[in-house]
Amino acid sequence: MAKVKNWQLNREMEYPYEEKKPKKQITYVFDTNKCIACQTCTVACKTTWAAGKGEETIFFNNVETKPYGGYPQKWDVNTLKELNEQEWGKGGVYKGKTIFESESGERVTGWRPEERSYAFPNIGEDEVLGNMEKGAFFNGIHDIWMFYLARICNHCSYPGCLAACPRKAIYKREEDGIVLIDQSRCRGYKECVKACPYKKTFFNMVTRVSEKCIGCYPLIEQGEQPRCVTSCIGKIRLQGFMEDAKEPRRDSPFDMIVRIKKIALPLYPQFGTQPNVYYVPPVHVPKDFLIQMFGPNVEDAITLYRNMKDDKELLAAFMLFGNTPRIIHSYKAEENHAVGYNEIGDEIVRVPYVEPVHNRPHWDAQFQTFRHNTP
Amino acid sequence: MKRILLISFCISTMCLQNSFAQQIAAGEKIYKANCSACHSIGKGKIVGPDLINVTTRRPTQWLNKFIRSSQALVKSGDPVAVKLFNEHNKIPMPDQTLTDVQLKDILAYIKSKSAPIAPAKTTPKPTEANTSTKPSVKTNTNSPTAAKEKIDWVDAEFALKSYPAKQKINAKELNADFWSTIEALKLPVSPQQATYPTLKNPSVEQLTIKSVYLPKEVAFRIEWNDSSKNNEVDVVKFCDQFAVQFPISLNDIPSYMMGNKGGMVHIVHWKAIWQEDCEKGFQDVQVKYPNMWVDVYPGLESYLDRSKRIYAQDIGAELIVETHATGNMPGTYSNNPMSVIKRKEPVEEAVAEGFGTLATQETQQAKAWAEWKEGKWTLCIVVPVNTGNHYKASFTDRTKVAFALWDGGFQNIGGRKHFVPWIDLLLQK
Repeated sequence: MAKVKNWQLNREMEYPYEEKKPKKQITYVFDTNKCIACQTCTVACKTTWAAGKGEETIFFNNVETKPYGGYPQKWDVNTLKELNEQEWGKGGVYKGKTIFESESGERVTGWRPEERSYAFPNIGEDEVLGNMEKGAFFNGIHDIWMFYLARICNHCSYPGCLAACPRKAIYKREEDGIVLIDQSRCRGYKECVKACPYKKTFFNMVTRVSEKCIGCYPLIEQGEQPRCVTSCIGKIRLQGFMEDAKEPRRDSPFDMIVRIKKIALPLYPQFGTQPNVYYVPPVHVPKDFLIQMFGPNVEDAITLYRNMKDDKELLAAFMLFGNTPRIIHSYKAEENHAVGYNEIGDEIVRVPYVEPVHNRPHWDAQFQTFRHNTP
Repeated sequence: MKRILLISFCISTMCLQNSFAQQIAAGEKIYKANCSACHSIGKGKIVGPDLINVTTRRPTQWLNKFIRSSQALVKSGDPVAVKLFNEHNKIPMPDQTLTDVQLKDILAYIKSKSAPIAPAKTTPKPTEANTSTKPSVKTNTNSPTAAKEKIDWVDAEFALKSYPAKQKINAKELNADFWSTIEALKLPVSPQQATYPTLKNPSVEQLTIKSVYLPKEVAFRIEWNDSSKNNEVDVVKFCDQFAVQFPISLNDIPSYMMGNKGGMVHIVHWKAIWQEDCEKGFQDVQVKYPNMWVDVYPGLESYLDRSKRIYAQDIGAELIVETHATGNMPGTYSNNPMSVIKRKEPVEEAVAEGFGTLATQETQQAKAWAEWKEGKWTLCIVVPVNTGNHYKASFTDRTKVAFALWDGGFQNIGGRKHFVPWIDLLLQK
């Protein structure tokens, strides 16, 4: 086992391979507060990549309702159980064991799903925690809560799937950090299905090999964001790159959101894989639950999110979500607009902080008709 | 007087040399049986470190302790042991119960192999190496291998006698009369624990094996107890499997754990899911889940016919392959040998040169058939040999053979397997 640096845990950890950073790392930010679980991302992904024979239960992208939902069923609860109770120390240093450090006698500690785990993609959907009492009404505080969690492969810096593959059929691309299963090399041992704590590698019973999210790499290679990102109705997603070897750049929306402001947090960082999908935690959910899910910085992130309107630099980064299919490499917070640029510095998107309002007369003289009050 | 002294000195040196050669030969035997699966001498790391010059790198006392129980040394906090353990993915070296003499022999052997040019006199000849009570194998001097007389042949613990077949061998005739006349060998099997992923708990203890041969084929009939027949494909289901392994070259016997770099092995691998495919057709989704419903498989819309009640779920993988519409079947599209829909034989021929290097061979000639009845698998595998293909085993009257066995009911897969290290395969006249 090699020692590698995991910045999400603020410490070194064990990993079967030496640390090797890609030139740039594919990164996503998902704002859970904006997700309405319309599953447009799920459908976009499924029809693009996983619509074939044998892929019936394969969802590279899924949206589940927390606390009860999950696909495969109870994936997170079961992985947490495997690790048992662990602890975060002072200063955000993880004191517990990661999936690579547990003493299970396996290279990677993981939970193996059952056949039925894949039978209910929508289980728990829109279920809230507990029942409303008779006569209860909304009084400004959510006693009963739920939220939607959109999930894809995290293209981890230290992938559990890659670590567990005895054939080295899984690799992390040097150019963008996308994690792929070599479809011609895999022999279907299903070690990755057990090892991935997020359960985002799937076994195809027809081809008898495993498959996973490919980060829409054919789009990435053309400078475009993945299908699940560009199809998002709620504009909750943004995809780009981070280079964590370098000092954070203030003109990178990802460095700003993830590294400088730390408003978006990794999902279950305690697993130790250093996932690269970052979530803005839901503001209305009890802190204990969120800390277990997103680590110890949850409260600061929520405070920041609630006050984002006063932080133009941060607000501008969030304005870029869902407004261009192109990959944004840098951005600028102008007086009235957030402006996004591509890799060579060309402007590719310009979003006003406030949508312009046009007041038009009720009577349209040109078409001799009354206008309706619809936008 | 001087002359006498000189003579006696010569004699004593000769005696010393002779005993040293014996020591090396004995060491080689133990080394090959216990160490060679994980260590090489001068050929790089396999599972554990390369042992070249290890006798000069570390003190003998330390080596003895480490060989007997590396974990005891690691737990005692010995810095070198801890470092080695960490550097080698924390795979513990199994404890070796060896006598002081045996330890000395092994170290002598490693030392002899580490020397830049081994003195010719100390290189053990095959007959010298044979210190066991078993009769030595006489090589046929008229055979083509006669030129390779230098082969370091060391008898394995077990020897399987293969008898000349009197007729063509049909794998499907598992209970053909001639099999009852063939001598059976019982072999103990062990769980694989040399590399990750390991098999923690073995579920099979032994197998019974018989063998016959033809000029270009060796057939094995294997029986083992397995309480459950596991031949289904699913994310959590694992199938029963069996594999036969041959060294490709006898000049330098490769590691019995799937060979090593430069030491290639020829593997013939049978799987119960393939057996099911061959017996009953491909285990398609709608076969396994008859009540499934699918709206559409993109690109296959033209095959739907509502008037004939043909819906998406009725479209089989075979049709998709026939019509080359495999764009949504990535494994099949990439010609992955695991993703073959129309399988002719329940067996695959492969080559390997170390863990994780298994690759399907281009020419598939092996045949097999199996039957599970009352808690027992009976399997016949026919292996092509001496075909001229240099990825396949070739030998004349003797070779090594190893076996692997997977119990699907106990989630055996990949490295999670039972194995039998090299045994001798002796072709009888």
